[in-house]
Amino acid sequence: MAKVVLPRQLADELFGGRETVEVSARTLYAVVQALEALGPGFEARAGHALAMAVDGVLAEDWATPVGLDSEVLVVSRVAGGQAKP
Amino acid sequence: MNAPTGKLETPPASGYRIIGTRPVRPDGVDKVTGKAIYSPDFVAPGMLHGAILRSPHAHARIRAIDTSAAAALPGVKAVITGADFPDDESIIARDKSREMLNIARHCMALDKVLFDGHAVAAVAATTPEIAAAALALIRVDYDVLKPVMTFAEALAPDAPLLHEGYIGRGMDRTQARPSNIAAVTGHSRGDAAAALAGAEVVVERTFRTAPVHQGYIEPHACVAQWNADGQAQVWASSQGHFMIRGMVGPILGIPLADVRVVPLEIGGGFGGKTRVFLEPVALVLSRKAGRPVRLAMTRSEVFRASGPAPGSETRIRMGASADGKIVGMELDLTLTSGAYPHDESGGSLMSATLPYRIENFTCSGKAVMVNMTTTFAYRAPSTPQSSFAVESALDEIALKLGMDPLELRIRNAARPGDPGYYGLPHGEVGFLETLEAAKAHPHWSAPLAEGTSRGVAAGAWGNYGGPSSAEVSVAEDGTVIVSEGSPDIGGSRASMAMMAAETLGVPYEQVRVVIPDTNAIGYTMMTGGSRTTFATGRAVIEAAQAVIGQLKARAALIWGVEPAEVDWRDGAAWCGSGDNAGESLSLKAIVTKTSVYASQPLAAAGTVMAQGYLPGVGVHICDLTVDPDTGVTAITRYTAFQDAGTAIHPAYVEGQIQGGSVQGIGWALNEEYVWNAAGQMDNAGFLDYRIPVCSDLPMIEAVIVEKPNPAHPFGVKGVGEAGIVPPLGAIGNAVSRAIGQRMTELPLSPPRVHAAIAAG
Amino acid sequence: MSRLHITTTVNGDAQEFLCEPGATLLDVLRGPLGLTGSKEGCGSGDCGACTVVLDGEMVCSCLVLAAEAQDRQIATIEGMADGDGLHPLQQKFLEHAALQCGFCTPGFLIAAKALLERNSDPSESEVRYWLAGNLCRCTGYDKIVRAVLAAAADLRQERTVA
Repeated sequence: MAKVVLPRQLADELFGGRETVEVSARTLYAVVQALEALGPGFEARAGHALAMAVDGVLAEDWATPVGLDSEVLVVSRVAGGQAKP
Repeated sequence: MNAPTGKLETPPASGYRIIGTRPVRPDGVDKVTGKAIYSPDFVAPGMLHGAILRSPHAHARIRAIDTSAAAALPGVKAVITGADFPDDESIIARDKSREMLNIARHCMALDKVLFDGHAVAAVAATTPEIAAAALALIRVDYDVLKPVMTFAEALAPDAPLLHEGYIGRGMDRTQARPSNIAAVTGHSRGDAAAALAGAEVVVERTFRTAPVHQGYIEPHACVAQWNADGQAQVWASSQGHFMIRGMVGPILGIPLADVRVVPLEIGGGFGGKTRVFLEPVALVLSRKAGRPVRLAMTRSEVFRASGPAPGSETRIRMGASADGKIVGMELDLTLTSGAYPHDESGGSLMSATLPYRIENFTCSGKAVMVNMTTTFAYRAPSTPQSSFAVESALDEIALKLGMDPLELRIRNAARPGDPGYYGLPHGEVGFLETLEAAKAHPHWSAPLAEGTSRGVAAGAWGNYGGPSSAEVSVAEDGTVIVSEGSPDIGGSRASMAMMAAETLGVPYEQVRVVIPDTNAIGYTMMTGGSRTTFATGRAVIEAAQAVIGQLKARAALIWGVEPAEVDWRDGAAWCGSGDNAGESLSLKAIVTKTSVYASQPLAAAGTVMAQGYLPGVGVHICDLTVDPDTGVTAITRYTAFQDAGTAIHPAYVEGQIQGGSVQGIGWALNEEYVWNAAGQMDNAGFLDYRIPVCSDLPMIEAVIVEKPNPAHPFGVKGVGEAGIVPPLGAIGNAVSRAIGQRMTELPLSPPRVHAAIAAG
Repeated sequence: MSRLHITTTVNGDAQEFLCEPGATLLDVLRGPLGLTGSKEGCGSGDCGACTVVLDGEMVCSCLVLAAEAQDRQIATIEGMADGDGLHPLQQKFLEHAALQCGFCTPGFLIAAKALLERNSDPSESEVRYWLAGNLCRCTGYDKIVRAVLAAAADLRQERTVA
């Protein structure tokens, strides 16, 4: 199971305060789907306002593989510009 | 004034033929002869002239709009209001968020106006004069409300709410009351309070900046056409034509393949042209009128109704040990959101702390809605504001400890592998190298002239990568065409041509670059985040490498060998076996020896989702004088250092550094939005919103540091943004040292500096 | 109110146009005359992007009424090159990368040419003060000033040789 670490505000807002969530997922895309099921609205937010790091490396490409014991850190996305697209 | 040191020609960077040289840009002749077509220059046959009626009130409810007299005026072909846009539910359903709805209502108000300049109606007519006359015939019945213009006014318990029922993002929805807070963010590590309690020296200050505008010289303009069959075309400059498509599509319910956005040359953006203002309005007018419609902003409208940078209030507490190690920091940032929710605090807090190792910190941020136009990205969004506080605090700590301010920063510089803001280890960042370059430079050790003070500051911006598309094709005479999706806002055609030429091994002059419309190239994210040379460059390189594969296959055909027997280097195929072993065929030779009618075309695409980008980091040294009688600040010498990874075209890298520096200088010394009591902007023109002019400045010496990025074939780190971050701190520190008082509020305009001198 | 009929000379060519009385010279250059090289950056004479030469004097064309062009000589950016021969200023701007977005460039070129016609050896300071009426937001002015000084040197050289 991959361990997902969420920022406190997002945890409060979408995940009932849980800052750590375990998901069964082999790609970041699958992680996003699993988190969406647990906290509806996550996917839309993740598309343009959040970024994820897999085992310490920022990975914006949702095709990035996630290992069985990986840690996925969710952070605010920073881009020189705007929300979307 | 310092001696000119500009170089016209430089040899290629080590190991390259073209990278590092300074060729003339391919679009240059059009731009020096007035032939280039920018947004306001474009004309479509049968085009109508649009005009927008804007609210004079900063905050009001729209009771009614009567457009009947305007519609009856001969020559008027369409009149629209917010009611002609799709309803809230349909926009939200297509966008799956409220982002596009907010953008749509900013483009044209529906029930409420939220800033002076907010569009309420628009017309399209056969001449600009008739359009203006039609606007005067529109009757709007406003119920004027009290505007809130400052953080204090907006956050007061009884403050009028811009959006009734709105609870800021990141706030606990079960506990928070509706307010004018757009969003809250924050992140911490360690125990800042405890660290500060044990620090040898602590600095505690509050810093303030006013909203400022990107100040691009080209006002927004577009021509749009939306036909009865649902297909649409938009001709406009922007920082991303796919961004325009991606906004008007969901806003108006047009399938994306039906929106063809043609990128025109752009007269500056700096983040301010990464969203739409006019395009949805022009499209709706065009649909109604059945003809293309041009819309343009006046300079006053640009100031009042586009997307300037947030004003700020930053509270900082920073503590250091006796030997100059930063032990802890508390940073609380408040930013102007403007009329609709917009929050840049997360990126700002991250970037302000990027250059340093700070083990214990508590960072918090929020964006507050006020009755001014929605704020938006401006070069390293909201980082100059927060960095001003950090760099000023560091300067004060240096003074208290009796330390050289550069040495203090070197001692605390983040190194590769150090944990960043979110705990992720830094890659090959060049903070230390840039600081060392500044320390070693003659400017740092030059004696100070009488009455001159020196300030130094660092700054960074995280940058970005993201998705880009490109195509490379080879014509039957061996010339090369590169097609890519990033608008050229500062010379990027040149660097794309250089990267393609370097990869293929052909002369730079043999490569042409075009930026086609959204129907002719794959998706490319907008030009921001200092991503273009990095991400779109990689797409171009990938496409060029694919074409090399095709060229090798053709050479193999010519030689009668297997493609695996063919090598590619120095712009030629090399035969590895058989009768022709050891021979080479240049790209041109391969093409001319085979028939274009009988061969698979030489063309390939490259698409990337670019990761592994690294931050831009700069260090600036500023010498200046302050006239005690007038408070006027004159910059006498300015040197800006920045890590570019590898400078593809050094002149354009220098240009980014110099341009960002001067925008930061204007921000520090003179630029600010001035409001009257009714919430209207008093200085909505270039006379009173005074950006730096030529005579204000000395030469800006740009020193490029190169610590290559392993995630790019040529080592590129984005350079566009970081240059605007250090000037606020560098100038604030120099002026503070000049007058012996810590300056905490920008701009350091003559009245403010003079008052400080008089009071001190 | 009926339109005015104006005859004038632009870049050496006889031109005529119809305009509203309140139209500016910039409006008619960019509209009926199809010369979009002169730009509108502000419409109030503060940015210099609309700079043209009127009877030998540098003006902001947004502050000149179109009607004032009657029987006068106007020079715009479109007339600066000689066929396919760029003016040394245009050449130097390209070589020195003195433009990024290029929107302010026509105004700067016209203004710089006016300077060099009056002062063939300006100092850096003289260049900066002459160009203070032209706003640029991209370059920070550094490479623009270098390009003008380089073009001045080139033109002095040409004159010495000639």
